[in-house]
Amino acid sequence: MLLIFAISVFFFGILFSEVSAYPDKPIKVIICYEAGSATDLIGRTFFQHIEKELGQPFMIVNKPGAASALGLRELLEAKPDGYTLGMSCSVNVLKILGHLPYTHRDFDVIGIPLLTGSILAVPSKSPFQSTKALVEHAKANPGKVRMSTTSKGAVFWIHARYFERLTGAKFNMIINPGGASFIATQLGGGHADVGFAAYKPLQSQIEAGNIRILGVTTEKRVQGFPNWPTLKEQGYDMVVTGWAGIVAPKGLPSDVYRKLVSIHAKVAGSKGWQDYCTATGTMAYPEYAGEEAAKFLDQDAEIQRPILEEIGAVQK
Amino acid sequence: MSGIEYLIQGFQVALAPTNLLACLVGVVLGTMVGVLPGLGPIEAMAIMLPLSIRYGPLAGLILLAGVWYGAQYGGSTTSILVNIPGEASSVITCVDGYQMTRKGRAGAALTVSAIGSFVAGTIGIIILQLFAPPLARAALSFGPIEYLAVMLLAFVALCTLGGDNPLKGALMIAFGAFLSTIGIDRIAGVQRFTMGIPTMMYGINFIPVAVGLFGIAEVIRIALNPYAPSPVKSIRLRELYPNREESRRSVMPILRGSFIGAFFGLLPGTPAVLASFASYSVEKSISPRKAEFGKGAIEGVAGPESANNSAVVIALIPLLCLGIPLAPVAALLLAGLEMHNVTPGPLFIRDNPTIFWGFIAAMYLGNFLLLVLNLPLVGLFARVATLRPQVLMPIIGIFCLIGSYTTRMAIFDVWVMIGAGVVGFLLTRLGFSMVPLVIGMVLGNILEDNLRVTIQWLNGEISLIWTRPIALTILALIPVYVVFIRLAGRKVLKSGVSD
Repeated sequence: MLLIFAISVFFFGILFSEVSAYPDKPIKVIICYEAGSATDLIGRTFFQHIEKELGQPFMIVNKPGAASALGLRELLEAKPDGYTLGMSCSVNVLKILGHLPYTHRDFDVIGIPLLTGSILAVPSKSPFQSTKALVEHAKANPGKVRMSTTSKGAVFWIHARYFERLTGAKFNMIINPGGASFIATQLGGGHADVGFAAYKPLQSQIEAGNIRILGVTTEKRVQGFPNWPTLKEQGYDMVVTGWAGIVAPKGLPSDVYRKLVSIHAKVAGSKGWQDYCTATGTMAYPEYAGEEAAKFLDQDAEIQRPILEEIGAVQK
Repeated sequence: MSGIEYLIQGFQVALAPTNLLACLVGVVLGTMVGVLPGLGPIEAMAIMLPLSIRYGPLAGLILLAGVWYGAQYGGSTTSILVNIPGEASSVITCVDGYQMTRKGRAGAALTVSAIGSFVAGTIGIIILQLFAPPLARAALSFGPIEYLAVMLLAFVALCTLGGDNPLKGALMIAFGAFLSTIGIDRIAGVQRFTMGIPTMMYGINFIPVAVGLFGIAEVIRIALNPYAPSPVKSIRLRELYPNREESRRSVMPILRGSFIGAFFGLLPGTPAVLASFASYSVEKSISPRKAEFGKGAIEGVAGPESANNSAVVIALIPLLCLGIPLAPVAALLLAGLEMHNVTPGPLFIRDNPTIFWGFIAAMYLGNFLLLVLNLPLVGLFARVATLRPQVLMPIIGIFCLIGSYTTRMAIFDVWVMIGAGVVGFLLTRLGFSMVPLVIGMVLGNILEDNLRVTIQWLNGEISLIWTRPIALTILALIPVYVVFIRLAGRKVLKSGVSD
């Protein structure tokens, strides 16, 4: 009898300690974009790595719309217990855009899995052999050179406008109803003259020889792609990046927050993730976890603000 | 190595236990997803994606694609039996499929739909196998202006579905187009007609509207009518399958539908939906029995149900051979491949012959499996139509509620569905047809997007259109189509009379 009691206390103890350790059940991730989109692919791959560290499966839910504001709204309604996370590429400017009355500071920022430079690409048959040739031609013929972009307010559209502002050239902006696959089709088929996009959606057209790269908007040349000249070394000081961030509802228990941040940093620095980033022409910064990531988002919002203000996208 | 040898190798790969199982699971799941309204292939594939990753790129591709084309098989079932479209691409099947059920020909409609799907799916795979690279290059030569030209052609073709009263038809198309503008617009990110309600930013989803307009409106109609004994008595096995007349009338629509679907498969957006509408429009226009359409013409089931199947197969071409997912569902297949570092694109077939030919072979197998699985179920499903309305109608109502909720897991959609049901019932009473309304909803968005991108592209220089021979050809086809349809319709009408 005593033995049974002792054993049951023992097992109860195990049970109890199990309950208190986060995580003890599957974690839901709201990816605020369409299934199969660039961010969705990044998220699914990254959370596969995180899953191995945390030991609990992730349920990925796609809630696209309004530049990720719709999915983030749902995240805000979730309990801050670490069992609901979200992924957005513009959480820090949604307040500026008027899509959401909150910034990333109203969430607990877990980390930024990767950053990507924007690639300035032209069709292979294009006469422009360098960024300089392109800019000079565009300046001489304002509004004639067709620049294919994603929908208004999305990251590659912002980059295109940034380029316009920096060079003083005026392009004919072709704003498409969606993501980078439009840019890939229009450049690959020669229907547009130039475009900014991430490497991944353009990859197959680049490899097939239909699209050529003029430059990339990173600080230094991208690891694994040493033949991409940066815009900076070509004399155009345009260092901008797109990123994907993981956020949680504000007020996570401190042990849960610390665990998520440290695992994020560990995975972002792991060889598996570094290899993925190198292969896809993106960059992993393990230091962008927790408060460092939130600070990065502060800076990024300040880079974007003047562009958004200038084009009148800012809500007063 | 010749194509045949590659294909034989492909079958060897596809018949490996993992791949065969992936194929079977995919098509069975696809059929179920198709039967359930609301739960569409996109949602199901997103759920299956993590699972599919475990079994390698080929098995994953076979599984996910199986869900997609399997859904086109299953989508017609509820359209025909209870007037609820199981998938967006089976909306038009409601029109004549459900009328056939009311006449006691549910079995025939289901059988023709399954066989048509099989034939069209197979034709689609043959085209994919033989012409994928050149078709992909053709798709790449389509710029914004070419897409606009095609959409205008489709719009003109579909306007013939306006019903008996052209003015009422035009009103309904305009109303549908208006509904499609609600929400955040995809180009400028501006909120339109959302009245500050967050859920309205999503826009009005097509599925709940279609489910309401057809399913709930029918429930209300039957509930308000005095009870009449079900027209369908017990069904004998012989009556389950199409009679000779029905079979004869289905052959050409199935073949035409297959090629119409193949053409629309190359277009971005929702190829299967457009293809099914276009096929219905063509069949109605050239049929000697125009008057029968809307009252249970088998051509109205055979054509669209074939077209949506070949469209989904052909829609794989831009994905596999360009690496560009033009349809949202293709983006999910892309996700499945990318997770294994297999990058589809112009070099895909050369670099991954095992995957490409194994996939082709698996699609042949999957289509065959679907036919074998679906034909025996016809008898079971057809029995549903014999249920008493007091039993059947509440079930349909619940089915509609669940279906519209599962589309996006939003209670808002349920209200949209109920509202659409009431509106649909009233409008039908007033003599409006629901088909132009759903066409307006589907085409409104696509036409607007393409028009706006083209306007940006032209940038005020309308003369640029002369530099685009493909667009000009397609635009020139519009008047030709109108004249041809008129003449063809009249000619067939005459020969039909002389029969």
